[in-house]
Formats: sequence, C-alpha cells, structure tokens
Amino acid sequence: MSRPPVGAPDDPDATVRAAVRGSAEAVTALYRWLTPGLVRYLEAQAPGHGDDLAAETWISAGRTLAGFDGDADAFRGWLFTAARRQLVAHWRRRAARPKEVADLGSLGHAADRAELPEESVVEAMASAEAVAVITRSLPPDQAEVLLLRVVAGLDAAQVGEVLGKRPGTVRVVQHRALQRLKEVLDGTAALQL
Amino acid sequence: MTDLPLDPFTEERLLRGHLTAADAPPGWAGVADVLACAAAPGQVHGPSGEAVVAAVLDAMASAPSPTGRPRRMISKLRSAKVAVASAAVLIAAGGAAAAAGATGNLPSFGEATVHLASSGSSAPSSSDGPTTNAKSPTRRGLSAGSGRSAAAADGRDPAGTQPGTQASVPGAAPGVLSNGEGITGLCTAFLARYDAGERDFSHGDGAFAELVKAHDDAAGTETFCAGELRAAGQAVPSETGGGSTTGGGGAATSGDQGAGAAEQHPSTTGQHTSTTVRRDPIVPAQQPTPAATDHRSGVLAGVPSSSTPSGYDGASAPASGAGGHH
Repeated sequence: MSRPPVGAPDDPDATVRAAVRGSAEAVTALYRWLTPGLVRYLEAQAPGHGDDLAAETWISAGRTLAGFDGDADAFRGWLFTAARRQLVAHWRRRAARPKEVADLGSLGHAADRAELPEESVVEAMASAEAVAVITRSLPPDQAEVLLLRVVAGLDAAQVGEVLGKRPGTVRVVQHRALQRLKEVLDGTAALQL
Repeated sequence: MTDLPLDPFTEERLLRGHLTAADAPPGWAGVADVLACAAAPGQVHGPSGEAVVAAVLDAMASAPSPTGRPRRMISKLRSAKVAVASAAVLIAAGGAAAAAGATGNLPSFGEATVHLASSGSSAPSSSDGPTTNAKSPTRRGLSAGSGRSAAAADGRDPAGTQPGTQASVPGAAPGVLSNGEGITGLCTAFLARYDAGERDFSHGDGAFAELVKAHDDAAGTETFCAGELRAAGQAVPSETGGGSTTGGGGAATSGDQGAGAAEQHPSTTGQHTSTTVRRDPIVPAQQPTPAATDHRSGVLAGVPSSSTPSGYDGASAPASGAGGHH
C-alpha cells in the first residue's frame, strides 16, 4: 500500500496565510503537516492523552487563528505554545505533572489504530519508541526541550518562547540532554525510572 | 575509537535532522538514530482528523474578532453615544432650518458657539479615545479652519483673524461639537447627505459649510469624515454596502491580509485622516489560554496556577523568529 506524501506543504508560508483567511484546504494541510509531531510531543508529556490534547490545541488555536500574523515557522511555534498551554491545563487537572513516562502500553496507543496502513503502524511504533527512549532516558525538562527541538522542529529561540526560557538556557539543556541520551544508549547511564 | 564531544554546530545539525547516523561523529550514531526516528514524519488518519479540522473551521467562524470583546463593547457604547450626538445635530440643524424658513433669517452663528477640539487647547476630547486624539492633525486642521471661517462667516471678524478656535453650529445646542462624538455625529450626517448626492454645502446649514470650508471641498470633507467614522469604529455609509473584512475602504491600507484582523487607526501623517491596517501582534493574551478560551469544557477554568510545572511561563510569546527545521 502506497503511502501518501506527508510533510510540509509546498509553500508553508502561503498555506499559513490562506489558513488565516479561513481556507479549509489550508487548515487541513497544516493539520496534516503538524499534527503527527504535535501528538507525539503531547503523548510523551501526557501519555494516553496526546490525541485529545492535540485536538484541543487545534480547536483552541482555531479561535484565534484569524489574528495570527507570521510565517510557517512562527505558526509552528505558536501552535506548540498553544499545545503546551493545553498540557499545563492537563497537568493542572491532574493536580501534578505525572512522574511516569510512556510505557509500552502507551506506546501502542499511538499505533493502535485500525485504519493505519501496516507500514504506518511500524513507523508510528518506531517514532513512539524513539520518543519513549528520549522520555525515559532524560529528566522531564531535558526530554521536553529535546522533543520540541526534534519532534516539533522548533529552534532554540522558539523552544525558549514555548517554555518561557532564554534561548541560551535551552541550548544548555539540549546539550545536556544529548549527552545524557548518548550515555544511556551507550549503557553508561541508567534510564529514568 | 574515542567519542568526540559535540560542537555546537554539529549539535545543531543533529537536532535539525541534517546529520544521519552514518554521518554522525563517532559514538553519536545511536543518538542520531533515535532523533531521526522521533522526528520521522507521521500521518493523520481517519475521520477523527477530519472532525478536528471541521471543529477548527467552526471555531474560526465563531471566533470573536481579534480585537476582542472589550473593544466591541466600547464600540457599541460609542455607537450609541454617536447616534445620540448625530440625532442632536440633525434635530438642531432641522430646527434651525425650520426657524429660518419661518422667520426668513438664519439664526446667529454666535448664539450657539461651541468648541471644537483645537490644537493647544484643553479639549475634553483628548480623553475620549483615539478618535478624539488632540494630536490629530486632521482635527487640528478642522478646528483651526472652522474657528477662522466661523468668525468670518459671522461677520464679526471679516478678516478671519479671531484668535479663538471656536466653530459655530447654527441652532445647535452648546457643546454638541465639544468632543469627538460631536464631530463624528456631524460627519455621520454629512456623509448621509453626501451619499445622497448633495455636493454644495456652501449655503444653508452652517455646520456643514464650516466643515467643508475646513477641508477645501466636499470631497475632502468626505475623506475626512470617512476617516473619522472609521477611527470611531463606525460604519462608513458609502462602504457598508460592499465593505470587506480586509480593510478595503478606499483609504490607504496596508498589511491587508484579511480575516477581519484589521484595526483602523487615524493616521497622523496627512491633512485628512487616512487609515492603516494594523495586524495585532500575537501576544500571549491572544493565545488560546485554557481558562480564557476553552469554553467547551468547564474543567479548564479556575484551575489554580500554583501547580504550573516548573519552567512554564504563561506569558511566553509565540515564536516569531527564524523557524525550526526538521
């Protein structure tokens, strides 16, 4: 089964502008482009709730999308800022940030969809496992920075804006995260339990 | 083989996915693999995605204007006040015309002298929002011209050199034009007559004649009045039929990206008011904060802020700089 092309629209900036003007096609294109990473990030931060939080993020973003002004990169940062606010609300509802990270059960959550093509299931599993490796290997703050950099595709400045940190702080955290991830993969450091 | 520490450049390439496992520095292939898998593009499947997109579009359609509810409330209040002021001007003008018709004499301009907001004066309009900005060159031009011509028309100062900046509205109650609402009301009435095809305001109603004199001709006055109404958040009669949300109103506009995000402000660069369309920057207040915007679920509201996870700053602004890359 062939897999439809997935990724950024041909002209992401124009797509964002069209979405702001209310184009359904543009909104759909943005949704298809950014939702996988959004779900992955949210699922890692709130296991079992990634899909719901992503949907809430999109809907809440839709209420203010008409006022958005910026290019595709700015839109991505804007969306993940909204996503993090949904996360914060989720954590507040649960009274505390969960200590646990994705386990195998929640890993299957992302892939356990009957409508997924077989190879997509494999890819989803691989992505979910990779995200799980990150979240289980790193302290929460480092894992979040790394996920926003890698999964969301934000740069250090954008991650700083999402998290309320300075870009320099983000770079320090990401450096430590990479070092620790390497140590865990090398077997010289233990997983976060 | 010894592992090499990552330099910032290589680290950035790794994070952006520009470095494959094969190209990674010694010892970093595993990390590159994990990051590549984590960043792999995914798919959105099934009807749930379509439903979310439909919900997003619904949310966009039902969303309030980007300027927000408070401004709309202010606009409504201002609309009511302007309507009252307009009615007062029209009634007064009608009364003056009736009196003139009955007596054969126009009422004295000096009997109902009122202040226009004038340059350097402590006009009360300065505290009445952007439409009554005392620094507005448009208003300054109007008041200066009106003051001169009003006195000249009254015959008491033929040279028009009276230093005062008072304009007269025949038959109008004192104070009608003492603030921005008055001038907006006068403009509303003027535009109604202008749109009805009337172009000669040099005779008859003194208030309109003064207004036209202050702006050279009826067309200039129309431009001024349209700007005044836009600045006051009022609909310009000539534009209400074919107006769009993209700021197209005939006045100078910029940054037209539609979606009703335009906010018009009086320009301070011209004789007549022009409008610019300003896109509100995306500030945290406009972000979809759960408590403020998510009215679908009551559980998002009223959540104590003390449980905010560390590092989260609710005031963080969305990104506007260079974007990230996969």
